[in-house]
Amino acid sequence: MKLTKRFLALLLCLACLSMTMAGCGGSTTPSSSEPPSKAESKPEESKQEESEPAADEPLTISVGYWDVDAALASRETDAVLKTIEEKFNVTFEPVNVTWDDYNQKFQLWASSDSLPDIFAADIRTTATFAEWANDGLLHEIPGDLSAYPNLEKYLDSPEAETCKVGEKMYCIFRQTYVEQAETIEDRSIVYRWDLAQKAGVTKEPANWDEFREMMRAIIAADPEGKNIQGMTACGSDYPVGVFFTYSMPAAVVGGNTFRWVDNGDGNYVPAYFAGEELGAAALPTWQLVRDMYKEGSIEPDIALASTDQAYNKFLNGQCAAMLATGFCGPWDGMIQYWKDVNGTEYADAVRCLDLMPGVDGKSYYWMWDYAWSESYFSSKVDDVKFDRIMQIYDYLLSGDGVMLGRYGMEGDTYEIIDGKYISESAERGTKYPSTNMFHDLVAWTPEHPNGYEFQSSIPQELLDVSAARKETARNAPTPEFDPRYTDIFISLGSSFGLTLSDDMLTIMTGDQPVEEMWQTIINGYREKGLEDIIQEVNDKAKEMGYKD
Amino acid sequence: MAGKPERKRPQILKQMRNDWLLYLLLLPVLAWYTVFSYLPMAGVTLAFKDFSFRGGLWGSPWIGMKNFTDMFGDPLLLRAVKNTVIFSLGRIAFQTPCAILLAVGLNELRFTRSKKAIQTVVTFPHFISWVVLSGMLINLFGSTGVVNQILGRLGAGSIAPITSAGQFRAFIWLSGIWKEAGWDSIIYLAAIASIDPGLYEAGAVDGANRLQRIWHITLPGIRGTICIMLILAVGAILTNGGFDQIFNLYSSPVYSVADTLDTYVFRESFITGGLDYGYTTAIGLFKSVIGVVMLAACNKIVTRAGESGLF
Repeated sequence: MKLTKRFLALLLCLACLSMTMAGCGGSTTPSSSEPPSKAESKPEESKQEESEPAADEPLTISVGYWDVDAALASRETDAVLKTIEEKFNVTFEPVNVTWDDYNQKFQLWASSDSLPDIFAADIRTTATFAEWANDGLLHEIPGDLSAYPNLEKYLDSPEAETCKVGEKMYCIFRQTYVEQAETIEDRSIVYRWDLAQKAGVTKEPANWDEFREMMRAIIAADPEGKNIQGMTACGSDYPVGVFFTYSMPAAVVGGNTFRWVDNGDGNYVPAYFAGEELGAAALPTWQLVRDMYKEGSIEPDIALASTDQAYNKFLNGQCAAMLATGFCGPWDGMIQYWKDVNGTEYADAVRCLDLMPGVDGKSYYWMWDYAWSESYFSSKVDDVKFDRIMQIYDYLLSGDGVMLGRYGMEGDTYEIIDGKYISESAERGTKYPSTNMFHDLVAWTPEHPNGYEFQSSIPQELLDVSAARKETARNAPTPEFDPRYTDIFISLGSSFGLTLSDDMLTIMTGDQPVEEMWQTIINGYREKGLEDIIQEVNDKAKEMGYKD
Repeated sequence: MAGKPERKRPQILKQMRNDWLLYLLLLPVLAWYTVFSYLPMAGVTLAFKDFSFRGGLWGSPWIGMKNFTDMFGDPLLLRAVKNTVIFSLGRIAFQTPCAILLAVGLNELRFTRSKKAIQTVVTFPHFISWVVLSGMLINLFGSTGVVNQILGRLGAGSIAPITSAGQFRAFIWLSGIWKEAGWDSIIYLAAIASIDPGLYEAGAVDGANRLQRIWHITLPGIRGTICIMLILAVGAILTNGGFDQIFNLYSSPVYSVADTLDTYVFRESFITGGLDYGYTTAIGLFKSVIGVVMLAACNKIVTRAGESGLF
């Protein structure tokens, strides 16, 4: 008995030890280059035909992408994944990240030199990008892409300049919009016009004063008796884009990507600090948001705002307005349920706020990058694997690749109606989960073949509103700024950054005078080296001949 | 005297030979601590380096104490230190007594079933993560939440404990007590269980009422445990800022009273964009050193007061 107990104890110890060793060991590094097992090697060919790309030797390609675990989970049944893997003789290995943690994970993997072979992130206009490229973590994209014609055509865009550090390209932008005006769809303020009318408002607001008046009227009348609040937002950082257009339209981008403007004396400063005195241009915006918050035009919980809560509040009549992504953006999460909940048509009950005039009388919009994120490739990827990855990217931009990667199998998960419209099945993402990755791995809005157009389930009258907004944006003024100064700043590799959203919320919800709070914030930036970095950037600009 | 250790050594070896199985069982624990606690300490050197991805841990250049001088010149960091200490002291001052009171109260309950039911109810919130709980709390205490709706119906003014700098700390302590007091009380309940029941019987015979028995028997009986928990809490005064709780509940309007060392470092590293491993490692090292000093000091005070300390 005693011996048995001892034997069991020994066994337990060994099991614990082996589990510890297994936990410590194992090849879970994202940039795995272990040889795959399923396919056999084929004789090497010097060049593949375009229709039969590749497949000299089987390769494993690790992909760091949002929810890629789920996207690649159905290898046995996912015909799209199988087709692409077989076509290129590769096995995709998921390296999962989520929308909440992707930045942190890539930062950690970068510090441990274990980045996945392919990964998508939004850092190309930050100092981190230059640092990673200069420190040799990223694979360079070759200048000659003639072997990948679709990719070469795709990268023939002004946006490609943002993918470079110095003269070399280190990432491939993932196109979100096809033109600048479309970025207006990144933000919209929608409001309850039905309730406004019940509250006695007869004219749709054409400036911030009228909008505030309307909001106060709705809150005071509370037509549905739901203790209605002011404007909510899909995120606490959402107000930045919309409200900055009031007095500092060039400052809408934040983090490390800020734009630089002439301060009037030939010295360039971040647009956030524009004005005769550092930051003076921001004051009208701060005063506007402070007034709106204090009077209730902006809801008290704006600092805790989230998409789900915003949809819920607006749908249920708890908030009179909502700052969201695009006019049709909330379709899936909110608009499609509107009639069931409220008994009215969304287009009748809700209006989209026009671009509001700023202090100079002009109506600007938030002009962000066409592509909000980009693909990176680890420098550990060897030439053979990199060539294979480029072939896959090229294919996913081709007509066949776009249709297969985005919509699955014709006749199964999509159909072509009238030879023009792509009608997608709701089952596409569940039947072929890998399409959730291939759909936008390379680009969010690649060109469809044969002039095909995606048939949206969103009613045409709502799409018309979006189209009208884009037209408004096309005619909107462009704030003056010099992108060359942003490039200089990024090339300096400075970690100096702006916290626009935090600053705005602090001032908006604060009790001290706006000027005083803004000055405290500016002093904080000074302590973090604001004036030094302005000097460095201007010195460098002088050195490069941008100014006298 | 000099010969004593020499006589002891063979004795220890003999003990190890006799109880080799127990020592074998200890091995995985030692391995765990070696791999996850001691080997990573090499990373502490980063506090004295200017980290670069190219150089990594070993190849990055040494910069002496620069990270520390930067640290002490950073007003936001000093604010974070202050907030961390306030939150930790608040936890010690409010949460610990609540856990003790709860344990004593549960011990005094006569009906086993109700005792178990109450214990289950008060312990349950511990098992819900702050990510989930924070969502619930925001829904409850938001401007359109249940609490404000009830207050509105009663004609009272609305409250905003999550976004108000004046109320945020109290909200953190109260929600912390609600979540953790039940769980924390378990250790005190275990300590109470180890008190000799004969003492209570003797107290009853001597005419001590229930409160007197609590005061003169129960509380002195768990004094040692309270001291140990106090030492551990004081040692963790800079590390126990309650990251999960605060990170999921705070927002920029309350940074002035809510930003702790952990939330500040996280924001600076991953959100503001200026990731600097050297600087953040220096902060981590600073926290650890303060923690060790506080722990040793508190241990000394407790042992001088006649209680058994940690070491």
